[in-house]
Amino acid sequence: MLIIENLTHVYGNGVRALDEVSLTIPRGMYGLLGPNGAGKSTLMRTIATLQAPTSGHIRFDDIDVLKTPELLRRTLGYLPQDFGVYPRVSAYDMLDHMAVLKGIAGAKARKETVESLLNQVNLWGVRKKALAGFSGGMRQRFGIAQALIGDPRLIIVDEPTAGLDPEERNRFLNLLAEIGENVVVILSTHIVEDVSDLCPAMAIICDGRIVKQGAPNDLVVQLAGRVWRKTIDKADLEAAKAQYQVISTRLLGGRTVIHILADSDPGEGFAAVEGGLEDVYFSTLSTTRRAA
Amino acid sequence: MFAKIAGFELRYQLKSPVFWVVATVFFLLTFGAATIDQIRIGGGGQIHKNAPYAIAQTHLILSIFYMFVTTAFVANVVVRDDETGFGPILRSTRIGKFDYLYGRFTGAFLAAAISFLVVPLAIFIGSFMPWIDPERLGPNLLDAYLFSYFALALPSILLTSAIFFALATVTRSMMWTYVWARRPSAWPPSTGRPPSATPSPPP
Repeated sequence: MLIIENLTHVYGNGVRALDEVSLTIPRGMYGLLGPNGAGKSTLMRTIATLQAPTSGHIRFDDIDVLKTPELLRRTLGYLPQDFGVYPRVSAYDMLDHMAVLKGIAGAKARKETVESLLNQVNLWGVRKKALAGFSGGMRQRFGIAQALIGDPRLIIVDEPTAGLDPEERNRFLNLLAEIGENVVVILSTHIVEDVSDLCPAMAIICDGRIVKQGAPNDLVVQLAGRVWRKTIDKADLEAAKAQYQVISTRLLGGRTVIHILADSDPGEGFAAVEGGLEDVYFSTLSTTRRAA
Repeated sequence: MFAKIAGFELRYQLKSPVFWVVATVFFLLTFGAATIDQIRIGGGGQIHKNAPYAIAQTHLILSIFYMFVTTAFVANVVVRDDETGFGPILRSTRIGKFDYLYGRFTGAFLAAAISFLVVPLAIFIGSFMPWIDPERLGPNLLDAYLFSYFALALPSILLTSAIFFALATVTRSMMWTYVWARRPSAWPPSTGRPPSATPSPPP
């Protein structure tokens, strides 16, 4: 179990990237959902021991992460957002080198690890090709393979599906779903479907603060009966925004479909919507930003 | 872990185009000096082109020019992780400072040392070229080659490797390392670190 207490990070230019973040993350897949710039990557990098926070505590099982980062690194798998690779190095060589760095000393054990991971992420056929020539999806699959070396108990994947086409994204999510339920996996993303597809628990982060957490289903149930939909002309959008709490707008066949949040039936042609996680997300962001 | 990191580094350097370009250039330069009169490195070998004195002088002079090459080898080690964007993955592993710095330094130094082997090789091969006046060739003395390479050139390569590796580690910049390589009078930097230096925390 990963416990984060009052984590605050203020960058040198005064930007408060994390503001008193407290989270308790159980075993299994945990989704951290938030818009770009919400502080997701700062939180991920801090947990991955790459940067020290201004204040706060992080504990993973019996490891004090900030005091003894080297202990966490022994059991950590980290897939950062947009990483690069060395030129002219093949997938096999790089994974083998990563296995060395992760402390798998024996040549035989390393060979077994590398070969089974390359098969698992379906890169066996291209293991001798240079990583630098890989497509985005292949590179992310290599990324998850290196994160899984040495059976880590904490796995952090930061925005892994950004920029992947739908097919590659599916393939990548399937890989993530195969990771055992006995490890903590934190998936940060700005894509709602990533979380609804995979995560039994989640939190929404906005402007450096955790603004909602729970099980996606519970959050959807809490919102039931409060989301309403109407199709309007684009010209009427501003008026609607002034009158209602519009949580999302979407174009459909050239007209605008708006979702609003209201405790009772607003009438005026609005129809009740069986809200999904996306409505939870947008209503949370909308409520947070209104308060700000 | 140390030996495996050094091995990975050495293999990486041997695959890099820099290694082969350098080996080719230094081979041709030395081969030219050893076989034709228009190219001279130093004034040695008035009588025999492959005299021990000429071999030693060639090694000494070329190992000074080689400074720019060792800079390329060892500075690449330091800046590569940040330049390619692989750094965050590397820093989340359990690799320690000693293995990271010395393992990689060893690999890069070995690559630089191997590449310099073309110098004695070129003199040796050059001494068999048919167009050289036989009067200007003496016997090839193995001792002369070994002494020049191991006692004269190698220490110089090790020293420059170490200096520029340290400089690159402190400045984290290829450019600043080259700037200092061109200004030997500036070691150690009298004004502290170069203005844009932003040392990152150790991995």
